[in-house]
Amino acid sequence: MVAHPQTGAGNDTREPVSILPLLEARVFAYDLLRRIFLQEPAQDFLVKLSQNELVLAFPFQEENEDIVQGVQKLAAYLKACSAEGLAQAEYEKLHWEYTRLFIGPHEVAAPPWESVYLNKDKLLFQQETRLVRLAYLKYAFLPLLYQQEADDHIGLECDFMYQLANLAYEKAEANDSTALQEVIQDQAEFLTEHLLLWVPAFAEKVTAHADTVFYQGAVQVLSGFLVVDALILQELSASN
Amino acid sequence: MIKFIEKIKNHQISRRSFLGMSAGAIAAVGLTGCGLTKVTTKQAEEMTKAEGEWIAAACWHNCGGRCLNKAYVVDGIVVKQKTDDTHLDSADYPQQRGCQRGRSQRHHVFGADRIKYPMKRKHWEPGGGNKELRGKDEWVRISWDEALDLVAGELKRIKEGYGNKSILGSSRLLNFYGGGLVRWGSSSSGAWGIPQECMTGFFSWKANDRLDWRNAKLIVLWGANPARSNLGNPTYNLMQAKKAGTKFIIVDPFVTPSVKTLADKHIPCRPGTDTALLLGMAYHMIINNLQDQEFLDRCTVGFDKAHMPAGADTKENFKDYVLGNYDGIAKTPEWASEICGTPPQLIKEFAAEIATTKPMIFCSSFAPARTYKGQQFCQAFLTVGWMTGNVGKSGAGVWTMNYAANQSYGGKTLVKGGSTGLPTAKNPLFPDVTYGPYDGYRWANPKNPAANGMAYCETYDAILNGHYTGTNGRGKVPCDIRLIWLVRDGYGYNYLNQSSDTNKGVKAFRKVDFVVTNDIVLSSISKYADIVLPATTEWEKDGKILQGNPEAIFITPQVVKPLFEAKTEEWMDRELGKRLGLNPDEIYPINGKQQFFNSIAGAQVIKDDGENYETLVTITEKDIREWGVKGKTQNGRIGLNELVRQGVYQVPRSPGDNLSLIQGADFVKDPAANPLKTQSGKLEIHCQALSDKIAAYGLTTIPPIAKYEPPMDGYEATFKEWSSKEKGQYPFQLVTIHHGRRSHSTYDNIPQLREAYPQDFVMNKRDGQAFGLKNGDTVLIESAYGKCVRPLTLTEAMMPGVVALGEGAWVEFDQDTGIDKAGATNTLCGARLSGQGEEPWNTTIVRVEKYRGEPLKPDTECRQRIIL
Amino acid sequence: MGQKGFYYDATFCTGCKACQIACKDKNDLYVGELFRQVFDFEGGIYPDVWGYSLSVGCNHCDKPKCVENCPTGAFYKRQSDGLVVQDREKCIGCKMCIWSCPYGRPQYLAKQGKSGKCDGCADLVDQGLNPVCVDTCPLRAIEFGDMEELRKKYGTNADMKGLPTSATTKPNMVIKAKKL
Repeated sequence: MVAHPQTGAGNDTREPVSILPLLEARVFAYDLLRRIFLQEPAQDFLVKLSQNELVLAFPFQEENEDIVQGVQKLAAYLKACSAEGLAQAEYEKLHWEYTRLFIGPHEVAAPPWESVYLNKDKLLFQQETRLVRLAYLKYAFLPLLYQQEADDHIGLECDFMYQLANLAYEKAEANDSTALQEVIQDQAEFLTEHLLLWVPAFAEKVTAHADTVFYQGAVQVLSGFLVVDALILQELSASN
Repeated sequence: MIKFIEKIKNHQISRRSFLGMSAGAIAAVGLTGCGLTKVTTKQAEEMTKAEGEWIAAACWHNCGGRCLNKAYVVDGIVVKQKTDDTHLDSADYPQQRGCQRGRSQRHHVFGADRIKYPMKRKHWEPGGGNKELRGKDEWVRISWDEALDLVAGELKRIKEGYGNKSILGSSRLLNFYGGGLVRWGSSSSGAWGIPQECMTGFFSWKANDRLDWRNAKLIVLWGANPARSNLGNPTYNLMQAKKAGTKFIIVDPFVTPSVKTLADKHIPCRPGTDTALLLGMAYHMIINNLQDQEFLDRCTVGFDKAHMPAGADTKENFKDYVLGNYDGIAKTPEWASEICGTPPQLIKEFAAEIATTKPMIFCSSFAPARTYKGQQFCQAFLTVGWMTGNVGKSGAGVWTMNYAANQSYGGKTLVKGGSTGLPTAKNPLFPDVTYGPYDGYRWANPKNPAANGMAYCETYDAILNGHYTGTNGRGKVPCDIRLIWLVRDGYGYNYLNQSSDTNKGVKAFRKVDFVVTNDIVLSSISKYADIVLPATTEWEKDGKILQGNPEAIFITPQVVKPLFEAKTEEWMDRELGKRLGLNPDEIYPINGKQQFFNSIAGAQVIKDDGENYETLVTITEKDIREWGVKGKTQNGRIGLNELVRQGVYQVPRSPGDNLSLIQGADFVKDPAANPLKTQSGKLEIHCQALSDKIAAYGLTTIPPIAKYEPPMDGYEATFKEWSSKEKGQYPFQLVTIHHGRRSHSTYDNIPQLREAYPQDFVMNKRDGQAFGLKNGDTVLIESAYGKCVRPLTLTEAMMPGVVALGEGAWVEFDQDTGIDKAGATNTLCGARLSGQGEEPWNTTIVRVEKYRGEPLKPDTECRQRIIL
Repeated sequence: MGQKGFYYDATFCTGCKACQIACKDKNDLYVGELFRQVFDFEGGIYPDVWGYSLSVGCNHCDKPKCVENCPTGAFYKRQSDGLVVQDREKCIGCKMCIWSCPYGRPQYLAKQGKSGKCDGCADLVDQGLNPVCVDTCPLRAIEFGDMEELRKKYGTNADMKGLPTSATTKPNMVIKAKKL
């Protein structure tokens, strides 16, 4: 168990507080987020989300207005989801929403790629993309559809944070504090140098153009959680 | 400090539900085919260290240009671009510098709006589904398999149920599957094709060598604006003539940037009335005996009754027509001036100048021939040019400017690419053509009874009304068009946007069973499709050789791998072919890489003797092995890989080199020994063959000599009453100019180009003020065929009575009002049938008023125009 | 080494704006930020209309007002070749330079909250290369180099109808103006 200096654990008679639950909660959060953005909505995924109050179990709601509001939107939307899924008409509406917001074929309403927001010409596969790719490569990750899909898709960036969150958990479990520190640092950097730079603008576009509360809620949860996670990572890095 | 670590202890997330999510249930939901994957440490290291390289990147657009652009690519990412720096720049041996559009190439390839996956219109199903929703439906992403099955299924169903004549379109695949109807006609070159063929045997289609233009004392550019329409080196080349002392005269309604920089004199002339101006000039030359009679007698037929071709009616000679000896109307400069707007004194001066200045180059753009019955202009232009005798001599010539980058060039082809080796595939329903974006373009065989297809401007009527005009007296040919097929090789071929009468086009598109396109973005035509397949840009294909002017070729390999799920047309054709029971290897016996290799291996360069050619590229066994192709070793001037790295091969020039050419020198010296490929063997001022051939198209007729016949929607049509000059319903003449922002409809959405070139509607200042309009107002422009809105620019550079709007903007219909918000000129131009099927864009009339609806969001900042 | 600067042939410039766009590319500029800008001037009544275009970057003046008035010294004139360049780190975004330059060349870069302007592509010049606008121009209407040589070749005119008088800041440019 890794001790926390602030609680004085290890220095007094109180039980040392494990950081594992925190790390685990982060894994869960990023896993949920990556799945929402990586793929078109699928009925079985929606069913799973609506069951077990998974959405309501999203952590850190009390830390951030956006997270709790976003979660409520998602939960409200998912009320219409039975054990079989959404009614066909509603499902098609949601599906068109994802298509229109993130795929096309018209001008994409809320482009889900970092380079579109940071590159002056709003293009894909730019220098900004390469910087994201280099971050992935440090951990020997690459998009499955490398060179076909742009590396800086929101789903992939959340996937990367998910992978690193997992790695952090493993390193913490193995008591490898050096490796843990490094992966904490890299996650913090990825947030400040990538995700946090563009997700606010991305979220604005989604909110402006989404018709359903599902994606409005999702992007709100995303925005809120990234802000909270930056603070979490700060705390975790100070704790070593 | 927030104690996250503490707080999370109390969090309600149950381990069970978490485990359930990651281990069981959600894993079953699975993230298939997406997300991140692990690579080996070694792979990761290599990719991190990846070095970049400069790769020649195709500039492939239909600007006629083709210049050299290079992209610096690091691991599939284009980090920066540059243009030609492969040799020192000089006037004789100029670099092939990219223009403002070519510099914005990467926007095409890497735009967020690329079509990334096959998409299907939601409310479509085989047979059409809800056809009214075409253009405004929702879309669904589908897999390639599903897309290919649906497309092949519909194609098969329609062919088997209704026959190949119910298919509109051609492609390599279609040509192996029975073919389809072909749209034929002329777009860019207007009415120029058949007059050039019949009157000159294509002799006046070619110009003297670039370096020879500097020898002209006078160059007349008729309707040409190379500073905007022919980017690349043409304007620079023309400036070398100016620097050498050549005088320039430009005829144009607009005081264009070309006029401002090149012209010593500007001749205003209303659109569609150039024929009248030319006749007025001819009159002045004839009554003052300024024409080169010796040249006319020796080298032409039809000028006067003593020199008519065999079998012609002697009354139908040009001279008597101009003098009015039979129709009683003398085509005086005063007569001409009332029509064309050029002051009579200026007409006389201009006529005298071209007649007496030698040597002179008399050259026309295509624009004045993009008019109704445009042949009359071509006839008049060539005739008046020939009257000056400036043919077949250094610094002299009468020709129409060739396509864009070829303007200011001529003479010999100094270097050329080889053939790809892919065998031709004729369209069984239209054997004169194969396939490609220009398959029916300038089709010149109207007597072919096996030709199944209609003029460009009759396409929509054919779909809506079930018949089209057959050529060669076939009368109305019935048709039942069910499928619009646009899965093809080529640069989009966005005809719903680029061909006349988009409003009618939309109606026609909403009638057929199935519309399928491949595209790189959702252009206008793909917007109205049922299935859109993601296409690769030229940067993502195996590579090809491109050529703009005759002195250079561009060798452009693959720059990046296909993005998202984009595929080449070849791949699509092969996959569809399999589903149709065809053999893909029969359709494409050689692949893209081999085709690229073949075209490089077959490249030829002119030898120092200026006559013969030799192999350009050296190819070794190693090259062949590395490329993984079939081939033979050969010796040339430059190694294969070196050439590909260089990206260009340009032949150095210098004055006095062996590579120059004077068009027609031999013919002029001895016409009997060197006859032209015309009926008489000479230049035909009276050309029965032209008359007959145009009649064979079945659209309009033209007399064998140049005569002015007021065109439909021409200047005369702006009046309710000609003698009193009371203006009618549509008082303004519209010219649809080439626009600096775009290459036709390509590049319309690039922010820095929109900043530099607003899509403004241009009107004369006093005209605008008379209508109570101010600079920057949103105006409604209306013709008999449609309406659009645009911001207004008032300028004195525009001729009163004439207005201009750049062609190529992507149509954007307002759902409620039906008004186009983008300024797409084809919502204003009607689909009228003329001559050889030329689209008569520059004979269009409109009215203009202040727009009372919601003001337009600006495209960009207004153009920086400082009026002093 | 002497003062460097630009030569513009306003008689041959067609106003195509390739230079404007190449400059934006090199300097990563957004819409509205134009280190080099092409202006179109015209006058007269049809058909007697005259017009010309001029491509204007920074004139690397002898008496640069932007340098004089810059409170932090972010703008400065190089000893080596007189190019007026910027240390962007020092810029505080006060916009004094924008208000001071009679030619309006400094631009406000909203995303950075700082100003910037044409620096003659000093980094390229130091490598012996040309500013990008020079190598881009399809009419070859822009030249760059030693001012003494340019003035010897093309004269000393730095004035044109529509521009502020050269007497104020002594711009290091030569213009071949159109005879109107």
